[in-house]
Parts: sequence; C-alpha cells; structure tokens
Amino acid sequence: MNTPQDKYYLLPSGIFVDKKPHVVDTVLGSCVAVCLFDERMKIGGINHYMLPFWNGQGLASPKYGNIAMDKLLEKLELIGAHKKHMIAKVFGGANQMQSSLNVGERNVLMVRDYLKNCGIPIVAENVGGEIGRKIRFNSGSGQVLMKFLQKVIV
Amino acid sequence: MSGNITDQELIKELESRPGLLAKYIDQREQSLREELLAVNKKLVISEQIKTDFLSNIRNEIINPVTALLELSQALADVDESANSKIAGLIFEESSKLNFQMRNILSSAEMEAGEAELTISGVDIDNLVQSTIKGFGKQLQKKQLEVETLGSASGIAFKTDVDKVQLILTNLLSNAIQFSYVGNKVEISYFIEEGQLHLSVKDYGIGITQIDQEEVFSRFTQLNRGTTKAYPGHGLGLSLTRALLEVLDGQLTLESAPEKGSTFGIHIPEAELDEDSLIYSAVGNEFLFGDSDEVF
Repeated sequence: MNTPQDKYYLLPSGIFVDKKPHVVDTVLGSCVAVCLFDERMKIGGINHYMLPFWNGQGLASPKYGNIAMDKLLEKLELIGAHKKHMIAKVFGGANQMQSSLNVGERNVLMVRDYLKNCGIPIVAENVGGEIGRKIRFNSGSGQVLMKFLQKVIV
Repeated sequence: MSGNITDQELIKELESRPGLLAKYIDQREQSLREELLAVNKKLVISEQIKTDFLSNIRNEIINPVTALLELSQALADVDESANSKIAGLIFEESSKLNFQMRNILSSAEMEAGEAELTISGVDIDNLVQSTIKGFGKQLQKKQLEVETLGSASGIAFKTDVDKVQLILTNLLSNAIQFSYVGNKVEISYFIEEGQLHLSVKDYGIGITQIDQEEVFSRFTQLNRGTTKAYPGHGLGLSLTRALLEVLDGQLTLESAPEKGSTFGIHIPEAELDEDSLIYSAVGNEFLFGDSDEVF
C-alpha cells in the first residue's frame, strides 16, 4: 500500500475522517487516540481525546472519550463504514508522574469498555507507561506507525 | 431438541404449558415498559434542553434580524439626512448578529471535532483596538469607558487570529453586559517569554466563588428562566474555554460579588505551520524510520 500524499495533523479534541486516504499524525501524552478501520471498505478514522467522560459542563466536544467515540463512529458510518467490519487500534494513555488522577489509565479503560459494547475488536494497542507517543495513522490501510517521545509531555 | 426453533414452534411449546406463556409475556411486557419509561424520561430531559436552547437562540437571532429589516425599511422611506444614523444602527445590529453566529458556528465546529488552527502573525494592539471599536455603540449606551494598558506594538504574535479575536470579543461582551452604567472596563496585555497574557476586568456584578465553575457550563446563565436579566445564550464562556484549549492556552478568573470580574487568558505563541507545531510540541523530529513499531 502506497503512502497517501495527503497529510493531516490531528489536534487534541479533534476527529479525522475522510474517504480519501490520509496520513494522520498526532502526539499523545495521557490522551488516547483510537484508530478505527473498516477492513471491507478500506476507510478509517481517528480521534484524540483528553478525558474519559463528558461531565455535562462546557461544550460537548470530542475532548471527552465517550463523545469522541460516538462522533468517530458516526462520521465513519456516514461515509459508508460499518461497525461489523471495523477493527480498532488504541494508543496513548501514558500516566504523568505528577498526576494522581490516573487520567491516562481511565482514558484507556473507558475505550476498552466502549469498544467491547460495540463489538469492535482491538487488534493492536500500545498504552500506559510514563512516556508520550507519536503515531502516524494511514487511513487508507489502517496501518499505524508509533514511536515513543524522548521526554515526558503533558 | 434441535438447536433451531421457529417462533411458531416456540409459541406452540409455550401454549402447551398453561399459564407459562402468559407469565412470560407479562414479564417481557413489564421489562419493556420499564425500558420505555427510562428512554422516555431521557427524551423529556433532552427535549427540555433543546427547547431552552432554541428559545434562547431564537431571541438572539430573530431580534437583530427584525431590527435589520425594520431599519432598512425606514432607511428606504426617510430623507437623506437621517440615513447615516440609521445605517449606523444597522451596522450595530448586524455586528451583534455576526458575533452570535460566529459563536454558534465555532461551537458547532468544536463539538464536531473539526477545529483547525490557522496560524499567522497578529498585531495584538490592532486586534484589541478593533475589537473595542466593534462595541462602540454598546459602550456609549452604558457610558462605559474602556481603558487599555500595555503594548505589543510592532510584534507579530503568531497565533490563530480568528480564535483569539472571538475569545476577546466574548470576554469584552460579557464585561460590558455585566458592568453597571458609567463603570469602566480595563483591558491589559503584554507578551512575555513567548506567551500572550491578556486580561479583561470589569467593575460589575461579579460572580460568587460557588458560581465561578458554573459559568463555564454550556447554556448556563446564573440568572435564568423568566427572571433572566441579561441577554445571551450562555455559550460564550464554554466556547472561550474550548478555544483556549485548542490554542494550548489557559483561562483564569478572579471575581467577587459587586466587585467585578477579571478574566485572564494566557496563550503560548504558535509556530508558523503545522509541521513545526509538532516539532515544538515534542522538541525532537517527527520522522519515522525502520526501527519504529508498526501496528
């Protein structure tokens, strides 16, 4: 599979879904990025959320895992993907040393539950630890490249 | 018995045992009814939220538009001399409408996860002055004076100008709205070590300690319902906070009832394009080689 020409840098709280294959880069600390890929349609999408659940305050944005997952699925289904044919890859959720709230861990637990309820298998994951990650998602092949950051980021 | 039973066979089997079918149906009905009630309750709540939202939005959009229509009608009817004054009023109402629409659209964009950064060099002096100018008429009406302290002239601060302007517009709009007649509003700002610090201070009604978290909630105004004393749909501050997050910035609030409020924003300077945004975020290059893990 050729590397797509189109590039996108995914910001925290963002979602990327496009019919046209893209290379999507994002940088993760305690945030989690979920790459969903429809193996039959060969289309994928990715989100990047910061906290597990929306607490009902502030904008209901994909900063929160539950909303980020709902919207990612919704957008993928809009372009023809189907849950039945989807696989998931999950990255991030590093635990910052100075934080005792285990945001990273809770971010990961949330999505495992969520995907289980949807019946979407997690075929690969690299989560936890104390070091941030950067990932490059190929939305046309589902492939993800990952590397650890040199230092801990927020 | 084989694994495959049709519905008919199942019903037949159940019918052959008196009472069992009825009991089964009762139980099923009961649980379905409970489910339905739960869903209904959720719908009622969500409908309520939607209704409140729509009625708020409706006033915010329809009032300015009605004014626009009537004023332009008047403009067509009257003699030359009054035209410029009416045109001024049209401008005022249009800019209010524009501000509301930008808030709504920007919120929708944030909620869809589709916000993107467009970085360019911004003269903060200009930005502050032009934002204040947009509120000229409203300031006049409440006899408010805006004092600006600080300077960033000649510096092209790299950030997303539209987002910063929308943040500032929201903060200033609030400051004006919650000020008493004849008060002043202070805007101070400076750039230090690649960070923009800007604060908007009013001497208005202020916010109690307990309410300070509540003001950031979507569609929340502390004074709501039929007693709602201030216009607006309560989107401003939650949007402001979300916009700042995209800019990697922070929002601070100091306030006391009857003393007024000071909202401060702190935004780090962005790199000029998205590729270097990644470099700056992690402090090393973003290249993948053969040694990287593939999933």
